[in-house]
Amino acid sequence: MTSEMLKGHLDAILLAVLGAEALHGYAIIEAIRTRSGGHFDLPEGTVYPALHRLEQAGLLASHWVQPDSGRKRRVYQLTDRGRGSLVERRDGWSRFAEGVERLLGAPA
Amino acid sequence: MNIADYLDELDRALAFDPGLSRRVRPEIESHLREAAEVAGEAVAIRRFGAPSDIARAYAEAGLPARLRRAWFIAVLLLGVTFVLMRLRTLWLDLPVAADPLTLIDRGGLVAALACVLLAWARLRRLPSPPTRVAPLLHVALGLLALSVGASLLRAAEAVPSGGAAPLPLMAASAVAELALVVLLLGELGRADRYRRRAAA
Repeated sequence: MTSEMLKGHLDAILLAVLGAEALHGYAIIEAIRTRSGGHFDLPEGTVYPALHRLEQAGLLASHWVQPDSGRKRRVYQLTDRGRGSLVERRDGWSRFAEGVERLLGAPA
Repeated sequence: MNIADYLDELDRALAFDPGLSRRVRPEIESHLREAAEVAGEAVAIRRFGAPSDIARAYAEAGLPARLRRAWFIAVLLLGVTFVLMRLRTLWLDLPVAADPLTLIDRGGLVAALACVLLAWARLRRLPSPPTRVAPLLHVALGLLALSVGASLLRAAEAVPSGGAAPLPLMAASAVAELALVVLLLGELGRADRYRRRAAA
């Protein structure tokens, strides 16, 4: 997938990753890489502005966590609005993917 | 370039919003240090991207919210200006006349309302390029400033013959209106800085 295509779906990808658990930025990038089977290797700096935008839109909330041993990190989690948005985006994606699959998936 | 130098360069690239820069720096530093433990500083920095690109991405991400905030303040100013225009008419028993100040006062308000409504219609279409929203809000600000100025001049002219006009209330309302004008001016200035950085 090209970076432009990925950019168009970045918000949905971030919401989906955070739908499973609250994570900090570095772990979010690792989760995207791992869960996509290595297909999505984002320029890491592009994730933080997107997280900031989603937080401003009320879809994410964040707070700092300081483990007993380890680095202080800002952890992001979905808000109720974010969960609703994730459900809508999943539905939209399913319909879109089904339509594209019908067009491109098998020869006529 | 090491991580400290990178963060300093990022600070400079984010100079369009010092508050954002203060918020972002510790988070990105934490990320880079963690990445550097795995891959080394140079690789961590390269994978993160150029500071100018990061700053542009933040500006693009934050611009719609800035414009929405400016729009909200414009609506608030519009409402306050309208209510105070009516109240001053009552307080000072102002005649309904077609003098220039009255025309500027009312005409400015109506034209500003049209700009704000049009800006709302365009804001709803975001994240399409927001370049057509900010000029509308600037025009609305100019019109509202004219309306507020004309309204205050009308009131100042009428105060000597205004009888029992509640002067402290009138002064407080004038301060509130002018404060909202300044607030909107500041918010539009911030939005413009975001817009320029996003387009850089």
